[in-house]
Amino acid sequence: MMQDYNLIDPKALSKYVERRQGDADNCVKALLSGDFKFIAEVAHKIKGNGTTFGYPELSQLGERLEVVALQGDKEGLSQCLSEFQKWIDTTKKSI
Amino acid sequence: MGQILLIEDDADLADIIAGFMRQKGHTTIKFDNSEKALEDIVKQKVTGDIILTDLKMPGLSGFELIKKLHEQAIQIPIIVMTSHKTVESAVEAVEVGAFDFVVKPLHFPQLYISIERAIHFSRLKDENKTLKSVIQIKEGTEVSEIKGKSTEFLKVLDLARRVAKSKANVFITGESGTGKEVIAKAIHHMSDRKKKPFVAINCSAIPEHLLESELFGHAKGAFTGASDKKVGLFEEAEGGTLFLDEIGDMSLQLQAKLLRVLQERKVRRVGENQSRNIDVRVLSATHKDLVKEIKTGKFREDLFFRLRVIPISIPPLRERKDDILPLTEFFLKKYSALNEKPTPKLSKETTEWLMQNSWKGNVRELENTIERAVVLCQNSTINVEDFIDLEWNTQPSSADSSSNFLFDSNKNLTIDQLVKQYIQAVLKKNKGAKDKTAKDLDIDRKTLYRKLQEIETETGALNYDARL
Repeated sequence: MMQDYNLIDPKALSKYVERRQGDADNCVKALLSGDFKFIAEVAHKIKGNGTTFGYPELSQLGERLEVVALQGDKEGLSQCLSEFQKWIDTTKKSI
Repeated sequence: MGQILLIEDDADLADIIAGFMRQKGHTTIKFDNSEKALEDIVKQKVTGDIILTDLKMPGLSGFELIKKLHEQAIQIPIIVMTSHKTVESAVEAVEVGAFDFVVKPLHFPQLYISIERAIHFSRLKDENKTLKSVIQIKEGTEVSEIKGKSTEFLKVLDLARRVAKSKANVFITGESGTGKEVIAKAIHHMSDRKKKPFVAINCSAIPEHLLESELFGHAKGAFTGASDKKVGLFEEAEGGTLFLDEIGDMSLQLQAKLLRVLQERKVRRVGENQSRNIDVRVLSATHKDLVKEIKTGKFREDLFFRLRVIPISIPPLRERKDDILPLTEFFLKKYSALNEKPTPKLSKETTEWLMQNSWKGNVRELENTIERAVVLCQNSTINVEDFIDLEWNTQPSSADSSSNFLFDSNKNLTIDQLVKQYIQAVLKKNKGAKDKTAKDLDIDRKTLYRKLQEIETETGALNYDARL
């Protein structure tokens, strides 16, 4: 069955994206301090809820982010977090 | 409209679900951890039509939550949410008692269908339970079905339970509306006589000359109007229980006859010479202070001791406030089911109002108030405004409506009509209290009852209010 995203309150979407900005900022700090576990937890969460909000690409990004965080792959993490920030910027404009 | 208890540690998901449910007219109470949710549900700090919970959460998992809720006999339908990778666990959750499961990423129309089904199921279950208790109440009251959790009331129930099996006469006292007849029925229902009749009579509601033949029966032609023989209530209750309510209003002459029946265990119909053996357990009740009545010579001491083998005193509702909310909950469900409406919730202000009210008419007043609110309430929540005619309880007693009693001289009322209108006005002023009304009018209680019955017969209803 296809999801009808019109059912989602637009205010909830904008709040969702705002909260992701907080996640992105905290993940960058965690990367600098080497707290990969924290990043993996955030990644797991967005992997789980991105599609629900109509953002399957974010769920996919979350899945990749979780893998590199669990591996402790700093380069992979930098790349994923940079994509995460780009996604936030683009999505904010589209709402 | 329903209330959903949502247990989800992901704040984003919780928000979006709550927003979606709001659009669909449901309210959501959110919990970000299952331990707190379990505690509040078990302690009845929150109630809901359904529980929607994540399966994998830090702390208590959805699985454990289901098990613990079932251990506590909490029957709210539970829908679990799970990721598509753990669908097997969700199926297992259904096997241990979950109502349904939905897969993440959530598909809102699917979630909506599942929730609607669960709410419908929950309502049907509630209705079923309420109807069962209504039937039980109509058929006879079991102690387990009497609502009340205050220490004072539990003592009464415990005593009723203990005396039920004995053959001793029980004497029940308590203010009007405290549930004397309910306790009497419960005693009968728990006794070995439960398969035999329970017959109740209000001694103050029947004129004295009729009460004798009502109790003992009469032979054909025993007095003018006795065109046929009549079996009395003692004989009707053979093998069972006879409940004599308001026995304090019985005349001294009839008290003597009743005493003889209780001593001899034989009854003689009015106008007959033959006595008949009876096997009837007598329960009696009054709102009066019979010790005082004995001192003033209005009640026979020997009859008092014969009836009062086991005394049970029911405290007024204002002295057992812990019973107000369980009773309210029960009446809400009962009258919602009878009126085919969903059971409404109570606002915080309403709950406070119910607890603060003095309930001078006791449980009967509470029941009538709730029935009226259920009928008049148009939303899913009962607010204080739904209790119309609140001036009885909320306005100072100086609002004396009898002093404002005016008659319309253009209507050419007869003296009798005028008297009846005045009685209704005084009764309204006294908030339905018949004792006080009889005293104010300087007539005895029986006369008042007779007049009220006449009014009811003539007009179909008493227009002062049905709260009696």
